[in-house]
Amino acid sequence: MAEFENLEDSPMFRKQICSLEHTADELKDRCQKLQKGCKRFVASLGESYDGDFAFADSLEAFRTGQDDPITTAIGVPVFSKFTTAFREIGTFKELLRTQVEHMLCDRLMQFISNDLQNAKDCRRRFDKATQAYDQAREKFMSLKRGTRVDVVTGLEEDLHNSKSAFERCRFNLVTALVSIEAKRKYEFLESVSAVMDAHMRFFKQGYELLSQMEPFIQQVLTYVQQSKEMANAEQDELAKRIQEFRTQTELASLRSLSNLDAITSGDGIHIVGVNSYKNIEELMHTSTANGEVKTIKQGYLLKRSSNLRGDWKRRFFVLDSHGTLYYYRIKRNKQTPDDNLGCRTLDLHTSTVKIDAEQTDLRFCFRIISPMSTYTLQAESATERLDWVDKITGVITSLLCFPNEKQNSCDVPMLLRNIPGNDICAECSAPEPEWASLNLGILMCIECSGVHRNLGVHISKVRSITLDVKVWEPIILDLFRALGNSFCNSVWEELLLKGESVGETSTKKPDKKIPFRGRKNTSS
Amino acid sequence: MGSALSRLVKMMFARREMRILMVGLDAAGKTTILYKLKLGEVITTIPTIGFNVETVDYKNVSFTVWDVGGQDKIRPLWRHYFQNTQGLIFVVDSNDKERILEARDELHRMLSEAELQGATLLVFANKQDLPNAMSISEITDKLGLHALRQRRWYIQSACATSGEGLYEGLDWLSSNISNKPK
Repeated sequence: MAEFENLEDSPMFRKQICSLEHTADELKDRCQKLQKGCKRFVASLGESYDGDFAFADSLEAFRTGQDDPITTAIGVPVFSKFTTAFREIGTFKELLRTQVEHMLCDRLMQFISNDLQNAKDCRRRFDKATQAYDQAREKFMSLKRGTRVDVVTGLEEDLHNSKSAFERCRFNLVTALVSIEAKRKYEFLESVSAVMDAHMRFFKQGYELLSQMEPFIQQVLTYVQQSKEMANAEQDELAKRIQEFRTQTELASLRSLSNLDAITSGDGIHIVGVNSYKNIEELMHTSTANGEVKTIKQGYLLKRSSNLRGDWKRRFFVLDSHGTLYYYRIKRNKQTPDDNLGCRTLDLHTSTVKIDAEQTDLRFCFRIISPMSTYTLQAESATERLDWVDKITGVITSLLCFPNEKQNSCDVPMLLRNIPGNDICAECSAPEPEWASLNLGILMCIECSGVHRNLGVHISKVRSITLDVKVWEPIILDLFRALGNSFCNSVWEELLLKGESVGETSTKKPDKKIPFRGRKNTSS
Repeated sequence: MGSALSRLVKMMFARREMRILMVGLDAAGKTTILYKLKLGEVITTIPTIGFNVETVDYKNVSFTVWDVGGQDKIRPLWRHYFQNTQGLIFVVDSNDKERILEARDELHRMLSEAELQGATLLVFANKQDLPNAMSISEITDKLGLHALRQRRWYIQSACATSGEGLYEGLDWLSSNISNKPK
């Protein structure tokens, strides 16, 4: 204590006290300013904590349950992890706030209200005591000689008392001031460095938390990058598909223009569907084997409603590889769009397709007729109609030809086709013949089988190798094995001119009215 | 609006309508008969996979004729066409002696179905032009038609390519089907 080397009451002493008091006042002023700043700081920390939690809450609300796509892709619920992190950071902040409040604000407040106030009180008491002492002294000093002894002793006692009180107050004041002076040297430094330390710990905790999360964040970012690229690729793909679809549509419309003449001139009653039948049959076969459903054709058709008004409604029809034809009944007033499209299925097993319509002269009409109901439909162009009719007919044919293979222990069609020459029609060389003449031992295509049937059973007994089952007994199969298209044709061709073959003679005739075998048998 | 009105008029002043089912073994000539009746000409047919249906107008009667394929695997589908059938046309290949018994079995199996109890039966003994065709009486015997009880039936000799006998058959049908069994 350099200032109070001499504790005796003296003007120097008084001056020192005054200067200390002055510093204390000044300090109080500064303290109050600092306290203001502290309060704001603490308040902002609290707000920030609230903000963190509000953000975390909103993040959690944004997360749509456990099954969002990001969760399933990464395997960890990303959003909940982030939410937890933000909450934890918020907790750290709250801790920091309490520390700042406790170590800086509270202590500052205490300093102002206790220490500085104490100094003030001491000062007041000191002033009072000074006054009392002064009065006592004056009284004592103004005593004259000859004053009564008891008065003198009374005053002397007063003086003594007031002096000791004054001394006590004086020392109290000095202690208070000195303690303020001392605290000024360490208190603030301690508080502020504690606050700095708390900050350091706050950031350290945050760093540790986030650095633990760093690989995860990287993972998420990688995923985000990937899905961004994927989305871009998908978009490109979509654009490409749109472009393709548009070119296809243009091509189709061009083709429809060029095909129109051919279609309108065609007979179209029976031959339709035969061409595409093979492809459809193959498609349906593979799809039943795999169990997956492929769409053979789909699109909008106008359907005449079955009520009395007979108005036309646009419906989306789908023909799939399981041989199902169905359409969606769109109801616009329904609010649930995904589950209630309302399918209506047509049974194609007992249906047939006709290129015409009753009671209307609209173009591009066709009908799907079954014993239960008749659907009158309208395609948007002649090609579209032909395509629909073609494909539906193909599907019906495939359905009827291969409804079940349970009773066939051996595969008759395969067996028959493997006989030499039986891979093509014996008459016109069309591939994959499905019809047979029992007595001639040959296979042929459906069109040639029609001609054979016309000849009568005394010339050719025609059966289907797929649709007829009872007839294919071992003895018949043996006969076919012994004959076969190649052998039979070699026998019959003996009777022809050299260089002419059965296939040639019949293919030369466009209408196939009189096949080779017909001429042969009727002439012999 | 116009079409609705015409439909209404049609409904009110309708001709008699008859739902006819035409079946028979494969290659009996069902499709040829159908298109001979419909178009008046012989077209080149191919085996029917599924069925054909045409409306034939004859003498103020509108016959809706369902011509169903006759191959083994298609025969089980015949029953789908039974409902509301007023007349049954059974076509027989008179030339095919080997399979006349098979035809008989199919015919009797069908006639035992409850849905066909009210249906009248017309048998076309087709392909009478061929040299070895069986006679009407022979076919009647072989098909066991005389054994039929409580059934209006008639056998008509026919030749689809010339059209012989076809309209006679329709005449018999139209006069022997009273009303719709609905």
